[in-house]
Amino acid sequence: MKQIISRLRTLPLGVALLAFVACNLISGTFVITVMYENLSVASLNDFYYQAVDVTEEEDWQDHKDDIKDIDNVGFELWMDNNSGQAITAYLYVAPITSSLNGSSTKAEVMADAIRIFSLPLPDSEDIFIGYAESFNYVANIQQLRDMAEEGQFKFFALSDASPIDFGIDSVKVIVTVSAGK
Amino acid sequence: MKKLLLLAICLLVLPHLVAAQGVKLGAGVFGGMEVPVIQDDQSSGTNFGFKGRLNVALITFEPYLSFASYGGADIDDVIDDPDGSSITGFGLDAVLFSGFGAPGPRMILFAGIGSYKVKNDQMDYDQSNIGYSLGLGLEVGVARGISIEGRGRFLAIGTEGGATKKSAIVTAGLNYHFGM
Repeated sequence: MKQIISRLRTLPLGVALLAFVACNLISGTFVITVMYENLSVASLNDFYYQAVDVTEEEDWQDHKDDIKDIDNVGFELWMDNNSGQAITAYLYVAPITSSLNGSSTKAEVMADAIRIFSLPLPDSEDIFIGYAESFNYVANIQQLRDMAEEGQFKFFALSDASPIDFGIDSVKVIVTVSAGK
Repeated sequence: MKKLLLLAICLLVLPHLVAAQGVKLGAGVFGGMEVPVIQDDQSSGTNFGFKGRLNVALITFEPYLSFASYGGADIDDVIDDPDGSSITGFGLDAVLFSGFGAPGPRMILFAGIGSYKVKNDQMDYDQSNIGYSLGLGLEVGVARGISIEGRGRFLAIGTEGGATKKSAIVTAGLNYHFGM
């Protein structure tokens, strides 16, 4: 009898443990990736433009009402530089509600969008900037995280040259979100 | 602020416990594995730490300091995965049914609260928040004043936005109890 009472004494704690685990398991941290190829080139051929949208991805759809934090936003880029010299590419972002787009001028993008990366590009046809590596060149990361809360933002890539002197074969956008009730 | 509050609670409670009759003291070390739970951006890593032990009747209070490092992530569709985060924490566990160095095996239940700093330099991520944990384990008194233990802990650390970062932690430990 004593043994039974002793075991029953632990029952509420066991139930509490299970409830605690169960409540917390409905939240988590998820990494959402979306890939873009054939980016639009601006009408004056002096920057690339892409409207980024992760809201159609499965993890975003599953947790969109419970997203609490944008932990990070990063990129993987496949690029080429045929200018014959090392150059720097600049990546800018703007809110999805911004009037900036592929018809804007380079000066408008540089004035109104937020520069998030300055990427040194060697003279090469085969340049890969990885996700982890890209953070070596990042700036204004918190503004990028804030912008990504809507799951959508506008992306621009340019250099000092006009017309643009590098190529972007594809861009992968990687968004890490934490969701919870 | 939360850190200070937690520290103040520890400082207020512990001296009273020590002053109370029948309080027994001990210390321990532990180490093992920390497994992220529903965290796509982390993989399993290590956890180790130190703790004090203050036993009053059925409850043993354990102030602790822990250090954990997740492994590098293995994110689907990402070629260049980032490093895992590190977690440094301190807090207080309340352990039920610990034998506190008495011979033989005992099942233990515990719950704890602590302050945890989650940091990832590579990703420019740095947050300090309160975490809560619950767990169970087995403690075995193996010699006079010495016990070994195995524990499983579920830890949930809050984030600034209101979500949680969760881990399952499995550790083995060695405890020494003074004056036994």
